[in-house]
Amino acid sequence: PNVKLVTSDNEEFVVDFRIAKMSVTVSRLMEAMNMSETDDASLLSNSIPLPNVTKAVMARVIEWCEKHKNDEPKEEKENDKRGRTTHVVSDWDKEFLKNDEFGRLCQLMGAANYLEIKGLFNDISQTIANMIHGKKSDEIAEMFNIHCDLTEAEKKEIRKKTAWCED
Amino acid sequence: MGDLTRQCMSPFEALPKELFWEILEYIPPESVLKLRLISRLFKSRISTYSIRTNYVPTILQLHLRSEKQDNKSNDSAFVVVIEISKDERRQFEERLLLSNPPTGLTEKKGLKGHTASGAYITSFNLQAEDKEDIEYLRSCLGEKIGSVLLTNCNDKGTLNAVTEFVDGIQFESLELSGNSMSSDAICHLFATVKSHNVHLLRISARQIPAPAETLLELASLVHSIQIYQAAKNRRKLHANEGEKSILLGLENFDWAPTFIGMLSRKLDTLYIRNLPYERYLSRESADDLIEHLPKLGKEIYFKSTCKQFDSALDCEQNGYSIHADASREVNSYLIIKSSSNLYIERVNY
Repeated sequence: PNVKLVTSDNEEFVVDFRIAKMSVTVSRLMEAMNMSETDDASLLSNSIPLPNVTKAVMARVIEWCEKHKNDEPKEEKENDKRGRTTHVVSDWDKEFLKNDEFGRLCQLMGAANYLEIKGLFNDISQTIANMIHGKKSDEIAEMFNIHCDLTEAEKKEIRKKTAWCED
Repeated sequence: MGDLTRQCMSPFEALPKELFWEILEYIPPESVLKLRLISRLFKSRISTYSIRTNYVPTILQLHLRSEKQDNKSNDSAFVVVIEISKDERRQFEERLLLSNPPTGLTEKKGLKGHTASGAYITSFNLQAEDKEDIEYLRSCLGEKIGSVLLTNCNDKGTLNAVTEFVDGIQFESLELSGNSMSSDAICHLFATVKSHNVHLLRISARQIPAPAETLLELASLVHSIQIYQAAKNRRKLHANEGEKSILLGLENFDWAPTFIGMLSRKLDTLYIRNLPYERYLSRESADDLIEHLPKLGKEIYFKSTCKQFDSALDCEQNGYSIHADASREVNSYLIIKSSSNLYIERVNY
């Protein structure tokens, strides 16, 4: 059976029921609208509105879900010995996310959060964290095209306050 | 944040703060600190990140150790060692690093990492006069601590700083350790025990002022006292010194009336480990304890080093069990306890 999803720019996506169920948000909406896998009429007569997701982003979400629709459920996040959250991003996911420019990656993260697709959300969070980790502040600012509005005196004060914890 | 403002921002800045915080979860605190140098928006978001949850740390132990070299110097340096469950390391580090620490705060090198039991420790150098540093660390600790350990805290300056440090914190166990304790330290001890409702008190020392009177008074305030006698020379006892009868600086003293008096008060558990002077408790004192403690009519647990019995003793009297090791055994003890096993579980040696 198929489910119809409608994006904010009125694009309709027809996806497999299993793919639709990967989103906790869509699952809840289907339940609220009495749409069930065994009731074709309910699926045909209804569509799920997703006002927070655009057509372009939805296409990427569905591509990710297609790849992961047969995955076994697993513990998505773990903590390392310092208590930091860690998540293993598979090679396919790395390649998949590499194709998005950073602005799109942020939109995809917003969509994964709204749709509650945990695996995709964790993949993106870990990918952005990896981009930041180990870099100096000016390198991070340049990478993300952020204009620094702190004065040198303010920066000096911030550094001074945490000097004790730096190697 | 308005739509227009968001449009002028880079995509990373335009992320809702909840998603920004999600990314921070994957980054070690040191890298999070670097993000504060990027822009005012990031600095503000990271400050709110550190206080976004009502996280209350569970400090296992707070150890305050005076670094004062001698009684004459004015130096009032001390080290604060904070022991926390390893599961809370991340949250506690964030709280320490991101809550706007004072500029003078310095970490104690070499005293950071995991203990044998797997807990995480971190430590700081402080001066008793550094009110701002003390206040800051105090604010990171929360309201409840497993136990507080004070080492060599003898001078008024350090003791006042200790009072400030533990003010408003609940703890049931207090340990004092040092070679020779000053009368200021004992006054401070009474005040701390009273104001924090301490249940278990552990004293590791060579001598304290007016030992018998001090212990009697403390027995009215706490349920459990453990005494660990320190040797004059930690590495080696002088010839015949082991034969001497000393406890907390008091020589050739009949301790039986004091111990009976202590266990007649609020105190119900008394443990004395006196390995440097294993004969500190005379045979007459031991016999007095065996005769009188079972007549107290309350649940007690008494255990003390005692090397005065030629052969082992095991008997019951008045619902109390009495056991003495033969003196040839290493670490000989005299144990008198109510036959209920309640107190065996309560005393953690």
